[in-house]
Amino acid sequence: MIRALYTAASGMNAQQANIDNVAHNLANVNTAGFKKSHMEFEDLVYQQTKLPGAPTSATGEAPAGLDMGLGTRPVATSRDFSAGNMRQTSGPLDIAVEGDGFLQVALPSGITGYTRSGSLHRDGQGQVVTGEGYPLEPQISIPANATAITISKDGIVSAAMPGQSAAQQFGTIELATFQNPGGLKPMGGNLFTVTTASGEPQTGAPGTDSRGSVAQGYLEDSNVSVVEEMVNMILGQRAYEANSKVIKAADEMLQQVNSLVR
Amino acid sequence: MPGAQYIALSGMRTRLDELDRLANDIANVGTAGYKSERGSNLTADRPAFTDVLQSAIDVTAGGRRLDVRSGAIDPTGRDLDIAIEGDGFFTVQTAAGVRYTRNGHFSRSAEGFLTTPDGSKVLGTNGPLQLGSGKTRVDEDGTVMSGDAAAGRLAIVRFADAGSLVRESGSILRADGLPPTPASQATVRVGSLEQSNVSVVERVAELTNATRSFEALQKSVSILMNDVEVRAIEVLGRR
Repeated sequence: MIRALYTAASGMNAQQANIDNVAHNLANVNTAGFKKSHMEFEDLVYQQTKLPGAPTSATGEAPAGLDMGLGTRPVATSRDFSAGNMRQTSGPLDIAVEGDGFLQVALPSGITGYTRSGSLHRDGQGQVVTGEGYPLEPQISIPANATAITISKDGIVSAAMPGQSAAQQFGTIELATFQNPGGLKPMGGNLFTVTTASGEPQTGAPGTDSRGSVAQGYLEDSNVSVVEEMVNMILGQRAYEANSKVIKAADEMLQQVNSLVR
Repeated sequence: MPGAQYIALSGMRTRLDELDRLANDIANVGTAGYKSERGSNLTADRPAFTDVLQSAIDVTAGGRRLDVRSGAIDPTGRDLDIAIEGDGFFTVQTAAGVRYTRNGHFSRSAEGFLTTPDGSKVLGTNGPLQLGSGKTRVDEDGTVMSGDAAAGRLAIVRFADAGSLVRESGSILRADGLPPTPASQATVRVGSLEQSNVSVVERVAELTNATRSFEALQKSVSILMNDVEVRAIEVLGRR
């Protein structure tokens, strides 16, 4: 059968994956700490029909080869960890990381999750938790009667206690950086986990190495650019259309082969 | 069957091949660093039969050449997306040997090597580029800095006859004996990616051309087979 049919089908599949990815990015345009991803494609294997340099006669040889490509496939969704806009909020436990660091979160399964979403809260026991109720790592507890919570640029959490003149410290928010953040595995809920590709986390206080500092009263917006996604969507849609035209052409040609004999 | 039908059939066959080539180009319109190919058809060379079958001059697919024009350079903002401005190819170490590519979508492996999306190591002028733990920066001349230390310089090469490179999966090109020479003047643009150089407009126009000429050839075969021959049999048979 005509190879073009399958080749164009692979192109349509790839563009569909592209549109799926655009949809995911656009759906998360308001998710604090969300990192957009980009679909990468690669061409498939080539079917070699004639090797370049193959003899064409006793003396001559083919100057150019003949190979037939078999289409494309999605190869990676690479995540763009560039910073989103910093949005000022009034929450004392809203923090944004200015730099490459990730906040560490203790997940119920016992593993550590990493996030850029710094929308934190206090739970019933006074523990500092994420929006989903997972405690930060290392754990920080602030008593219920503490007021005027302050988080310094280097992550020290302090608050005023009734009857005390000096602010009391309750711990330090630590950040983690990775050799290859692109290798982190997304697991939903703005969380990432370590893989062999990302490398082991290097943890430490904010402000040390290239971990970045903590900004209290700010949240990091999603880094999705709506304009860019719209352009990707148009391109994906048109490429999908072009591939479907190829299928139509292949179909018409097959139809004509069938009508060779009346 | 007279020669004319074979000629037309060979023409139909080459149009089918052309369709395959167009399909591959259009399928790879979103593949970074993809290079399309220019095909050509030529009259088949049949030295032994020319005297006997004067009319059987058919067409076959001729050679193809890589279209090495640069694709559009798209700013991505990623630190490790690198596009080459002008002539030149990145050198990568694949499992099958040294290969070349224009796809500068690199990442950093767990061991700190600069790799392609397939995990092949990107080569510098002094072997694979290994990055330290600091932030990676690539200068315009291809020098890779890791933190404050230089990790090496991207091995960017050019070919006198780049059109003869052979494509492999993953926007990778094979040299097949062509000698690479260092492209010392090459400048790289960091945070940008070279897109596929397929022009959809051009390819869809060619697609229409291939379908229509296929149709014309089909008509001629059909007329020869269904009308001319049948008529000949009818007329001659009546005598």
